[in-house]
Amino acid sequence: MEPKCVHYTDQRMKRFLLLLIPWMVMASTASAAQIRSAEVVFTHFGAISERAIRVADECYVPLTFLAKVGWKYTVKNSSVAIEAEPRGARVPIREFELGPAIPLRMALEQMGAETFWEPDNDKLQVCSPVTKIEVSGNKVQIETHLTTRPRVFRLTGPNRFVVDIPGARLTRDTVQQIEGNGVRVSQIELNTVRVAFEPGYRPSLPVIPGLGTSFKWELDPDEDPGTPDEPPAPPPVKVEPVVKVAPDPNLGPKTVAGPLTLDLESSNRVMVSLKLSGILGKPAQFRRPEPDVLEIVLWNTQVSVPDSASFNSASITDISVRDEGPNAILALKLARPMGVELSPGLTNLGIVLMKPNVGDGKLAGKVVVVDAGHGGHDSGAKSPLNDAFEKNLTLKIAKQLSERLANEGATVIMTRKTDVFIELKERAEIANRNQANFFISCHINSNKLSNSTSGGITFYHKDDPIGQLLADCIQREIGKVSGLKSIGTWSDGRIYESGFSVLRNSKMPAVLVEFGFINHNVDRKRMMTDDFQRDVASAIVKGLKVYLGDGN
Amino acid sequence: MATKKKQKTSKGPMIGLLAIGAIGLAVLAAYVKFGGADKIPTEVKRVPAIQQPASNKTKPDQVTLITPTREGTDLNLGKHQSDVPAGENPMLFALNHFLRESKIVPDDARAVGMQVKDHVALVDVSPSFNQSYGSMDEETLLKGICATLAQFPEVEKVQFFVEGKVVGSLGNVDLSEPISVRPKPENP
Ligand SMILES: [Zn+2]
Repeated sequence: MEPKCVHYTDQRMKRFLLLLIPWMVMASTASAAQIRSAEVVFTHFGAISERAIRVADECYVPLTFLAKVGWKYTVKNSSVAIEAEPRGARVPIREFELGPAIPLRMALEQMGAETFWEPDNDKLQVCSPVTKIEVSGNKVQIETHLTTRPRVFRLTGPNRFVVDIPGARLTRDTVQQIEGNGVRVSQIELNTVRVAFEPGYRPSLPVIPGLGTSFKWELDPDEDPGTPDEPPAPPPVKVEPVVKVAPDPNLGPKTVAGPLTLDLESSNRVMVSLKLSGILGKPAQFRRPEPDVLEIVLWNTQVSVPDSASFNSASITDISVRDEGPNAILALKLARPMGVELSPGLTNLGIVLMKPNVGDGKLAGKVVVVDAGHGGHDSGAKSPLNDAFEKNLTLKIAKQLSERLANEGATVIMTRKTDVFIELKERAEIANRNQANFFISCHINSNKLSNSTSGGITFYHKDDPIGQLLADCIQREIGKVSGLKSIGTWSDGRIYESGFSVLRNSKMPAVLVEFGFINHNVDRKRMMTDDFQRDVASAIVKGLKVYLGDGN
Repeated sequence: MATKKKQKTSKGPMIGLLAIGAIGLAVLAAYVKFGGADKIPTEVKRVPAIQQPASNKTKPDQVTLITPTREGTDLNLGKHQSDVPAGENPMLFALNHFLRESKIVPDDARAVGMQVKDHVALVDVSPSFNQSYGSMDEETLLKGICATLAQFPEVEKVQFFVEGKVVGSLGNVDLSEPISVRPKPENP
C-alpha cells in the first residue's frame, strides 16, 4: 500500500518546504495478540503500582487494583460489579497468569472516564472529563466527572494564579461559562487541564482543595506581586523565553514553531502537538481547503526547522509549511476527512484530529433523516410579496434529496412529507428514535435588513468538530452547483448561544442547510427552479459520500 | 503566603443596591401587573434609573434604544439614549423601538405587556409576532431583544407569550424555556 505523497507548498516560499512522509508503518497483525506488561496512570493517583497487562487495546488489571483506586466490588459468577463514583460498572473476569483480571478500559468507559494509551509505550492514561468550569463575578466553580485533586499556585510571566487539574481532560461536553476576558482554560498537557485567572485576582483558601468532584473558590484581589508559590508537585509547565527571529517592527517578535510530534494515534483520534516558543499573538485557526486537507494558520510565526516533523502516522500522509504574509501555514494532508480541534497551550499547540465513525464507509445502508423545515401554520421565511414560502421550498428540496439518497441505497426517513407542522424537538427525536446516521435539515434564509445578502450557509452545532466536518463537505458540494455564492459553514452558536434546537437535540452528525435568501431576488428565483432543487439535493448526497469516503 | 482574609468590604454597597433593585422591581412588577394608572408617582418613574449600574451614563428616565443594521452578514446594533415618554414602561418602550427598527416583524407586531419575575422578563407579544424567520433575521431579533433587555440589571432571561402560550421559536432556536439576555459570544 503506497501512501499518496502530495505536496502543498507555495512555490514562492520554497525555503519553508517541509518534509513529506515517504512511508507508513505497516500494521503488525502479530502484535495484536501479544500480551505485554503495562502501566496505568490513574487521574490524580498517578502511576498505580499494580501489575497490569495490555492485550491489543484493552488493559487488564488484577482485582487488587480496584481497592487501590478506592472501588468496592462484588464477584458474581464470571463477572465483577464495581461500585464507584459517579457510577459503577459491570465487566467480565478473565484469567491470566497474574490471576483473575478485569478489562479496565471497558469498566472506565461505563463509568464515563477517558482513557488512552500513550503513543510510544504501554502506559494507559486514565483521565476524568472536566464537566464544568464556571467563572461568574468573583465565584469560581470547577466540576469533574471522577474524583480529582486540583492544585492552586502562582505562576510568573505574567504573575497570575492558576488551578491545575492533573488527570483531567476538557471534552466536547465540558460546560464553560466564563465571564471576563482574563480567564484562560486550556489542556496544557495530555492529562492536565489549567484554568488561569486574570492577573490581580487570586482564588480564596483553601489553596490545597483536597479530593473531590466539585470545587469552589471566590476570587479575591491579589495585592501581593510576591514570589511564585511552588506547586506541591510536579512543577508547572516552564514558559520558555520567546526566541526573537527577524522581528517585524509592527508585529513584534515572531513565535517560533516546531517540532511537530505525534502524541497519540488511536482508532478514533490522532493527537499531534506543535511546540511553540511562546503564546501566539492571536489564537491559531484552521481551515479546510479540501475535505482531507487541514491548514492551520499560525499568526506571526516562523517554523524553526525544516524537518520539524519526524513521526509516522497512518492518518497524516503529508505535511508542509508555507508563509502567508507574516503568518505560517501548516498544512496536513489527511488519509481521509477528519474533524479538528485545536487546543492551545502555553508552549504548544495541540491538534486533535477526530476520525468520524463511518461504519463501512458506504452511504448504502445508512439511515438518513431528511428534515424539511417548518410546515403547516409555520410558513418559515416569506418573500417580500408573500408569494414564496420557505416551508414549500424546503419540502420540495427535501423530497428531491430523499429520492436521491434512496437511489444510493440509504434508508431515508422524512420528518414530514406534507404541509404539516412538526415541533422542533420532535424532528430531532425522530432521528434519535430511528438511530439515524445523519440528520439533514433544509431551510431558506432571510435578511430583511439587507436585500443584497445572497448565498448559502450550512450550519453545524456549536463547536462540534464532526458536525463541522460534515457541514464543510456538504457546503463545498452545494457551492459547486447552486449557482449562488457560498457564504460558508457557520456554527449555530453565531445565531444564539444555545444553537439550533434540531442540531442540539439530535445525537448523530447533523447539519442545517440554508440554501439562499428568500428576500434576495436572484436567490429566490433560482431556488424556485427544479434545476436548483435537483442540483443541491445531488450535492448533499455527494457531500455525504465525501465525508464517508464512499466512492473515492 | 496567602491573603487569608476575604475581601468582604465591597459587598455591603452591592447588597444595598440589590435591595433597592428588588424593591424597585416589585413596584415595577406591581405597576405592570395592575395596568399602570395614568398618574404614576414620581418614585416609580425613577425606578429604572436607580437600577442602572454605576458605569451606565443613562440619565434618569432615559433608556438605551437599539437600532440594528447589517453590513453583509455582519450584524451591528446601534445604540442611542432616549427619554422614556411619561407613563410608558421603559422596557416595553425600548423593546418596541427595536422591533419597529428591525423591519422583520410585521408592522402590528408589538410587545404589549411585560413583568419581570425571578429575573425573567415575561413578555406578552401580539399574535403577529409569533412566526418564524430565516436564521439571519432570527439572529437580528434575538440579539437585538437581548441587547435591549440586558441594559436592565434585574433582567437575566426572557421568554415570550402570545395569549398566554409560550412562543416556541422564531425559527431554529428553542425559546420554550427562558433564554439568557447576556449570552456568551461565540468564538470566531
Ligand atoms: Zn427555516
